[in-house]
Amino acid sequence: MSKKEPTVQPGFTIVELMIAVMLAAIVMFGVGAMVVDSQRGWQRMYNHIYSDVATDSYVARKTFDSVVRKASSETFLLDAAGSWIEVYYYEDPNSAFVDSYARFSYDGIGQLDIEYGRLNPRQTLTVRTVCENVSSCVFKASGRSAQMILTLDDGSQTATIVSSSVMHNQ
Amino acid sequence: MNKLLQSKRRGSAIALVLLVIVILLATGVGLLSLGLHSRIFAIRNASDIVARCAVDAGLTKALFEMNEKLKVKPWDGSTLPQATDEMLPNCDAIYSYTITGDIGNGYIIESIGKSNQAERRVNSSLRLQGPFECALFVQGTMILKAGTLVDGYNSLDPGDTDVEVRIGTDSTLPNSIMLNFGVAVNGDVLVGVGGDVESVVQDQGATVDDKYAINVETVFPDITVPALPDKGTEISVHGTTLTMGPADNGEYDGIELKRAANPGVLEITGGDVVLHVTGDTSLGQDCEIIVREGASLTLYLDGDLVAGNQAGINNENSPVNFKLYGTGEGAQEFDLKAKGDFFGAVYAPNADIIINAGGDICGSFIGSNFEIKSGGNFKYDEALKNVSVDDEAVRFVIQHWSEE
Repeated sequence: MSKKEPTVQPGFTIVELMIAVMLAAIVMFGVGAMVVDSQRGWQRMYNHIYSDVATDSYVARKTFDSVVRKASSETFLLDAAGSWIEVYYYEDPNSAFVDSYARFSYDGIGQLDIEYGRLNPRQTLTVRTVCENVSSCVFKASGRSAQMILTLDDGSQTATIVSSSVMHNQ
Repeated sequence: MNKLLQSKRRGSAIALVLLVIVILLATGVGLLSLGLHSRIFAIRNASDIVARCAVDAGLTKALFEMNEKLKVKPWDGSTLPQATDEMLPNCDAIYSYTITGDIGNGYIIESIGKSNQAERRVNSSLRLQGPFECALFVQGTMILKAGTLVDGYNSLDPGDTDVEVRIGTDSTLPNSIMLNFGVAVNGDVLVGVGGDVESVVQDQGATVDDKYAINVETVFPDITVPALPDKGTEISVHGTTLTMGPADNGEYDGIELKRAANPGVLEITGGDVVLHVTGDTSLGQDCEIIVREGASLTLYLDGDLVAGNQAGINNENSPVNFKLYGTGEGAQEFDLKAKGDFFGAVYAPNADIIINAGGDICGSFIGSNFEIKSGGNFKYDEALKNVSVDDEAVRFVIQHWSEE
């Protein structure tokens, strides 16, 4: 009876295993970092486009633009500190005199409002919030142009928009 | 080793790699999609702003073209300016405009601005604006004597009680408007662009509706003297009465009225009289220019106007019937007097105007400096706002503006 020779199973040395594990770890770490970074980039871009700050700043710019462009250039009121501006416009296109007003005002604690009303006699019709999360808002004017410098901050994102418009009506 | 490599046991590396690739692809596609949306959003915003600039440019160009057309007399409304797909310089935007309407019903400008997919459309109605929009307006200083009441009326519509009265200056220098004690302005007081009303208006106890700075510097249009036959002489009257009618329209070297036994009188009668005086106009003591009822006098004066004691220009009609235009290239001085009420409109942006009247002063005064030394109250005649294309210093301005 022949003596059975012990079988030699091929295997890895501990050094080979460690190298393999380290290489695998490096690859996995790299891939993981890429995935996480991509996710963060995606999230950041998503916020940049669709966050409240982004949409609010867009709405504020459009509102300011549409109201100021139809305003009368004859006269307007501007706060010395620039926290509000009041412009006048024709609600009735056949009116010989400006009959309505719109007043943008920043309350100093995060809200930009617009107040619409009638003149002669002065009567407030509606007050609407244009946007929240306002950290600063300054109105300026020069000639027939009015400007709004608005900064929005919701804690995670900040956006500053500068909107300028010319008052076109008489 | 070879056996290990030749092992037919299934591995999981391919699946893992594919999983990672799918995850990275999904994230990448998401990022690209967001980036694309962001880019499209930014392009739309930018295009909208550029289209807005284009539509404004179209409107401005249309208004400019209309005013250029207005300079050619007589007015020809058969062809109106228009433009199609004009390029806005230094960008990819285009604008178009059309003008519709007629002089009787008014003109409307429709302007369209386009940039990429963005389009803006603006409609504006136009009106003619003459030089007499304000009761009193100066480039420099204005002094109203104590107790003057500045009010308005409409000689064409006595029932019109809602007359907009404005007096003002284009200056922002301190004390440019002096409202002495008791002055009452049933209207607004305007000061130059950016001026401090409290500094510019020296208020010594006046009452006014409102005081504010204008937003746009006032335009003082140039006066174009109509072509008139050169008479080669001056109008000289010594102690007699000279009657002039439309047949005497022309260019004269000067006007001199002198008193002899009787005062010299220049009587305007029989219709619309237009005189261009290249020199001075001098009215001696008690002498007067009388614009008879039904007649009118339009006087283009290159020189000065001086009037002695009790002399004056007496218009027996509404202010519309006596218009004095200062057409000198340099500074002028107008010393206006009237024995009773003064009715007239003066447009002389380079003239220092001083007025003494025996009664009220009715009309409108546009000058360099202005002072009421004596007289009653000042009444602005809103009928002076009614102008036609053939009047002096008229231009189209935007009346109503709307955006779709």
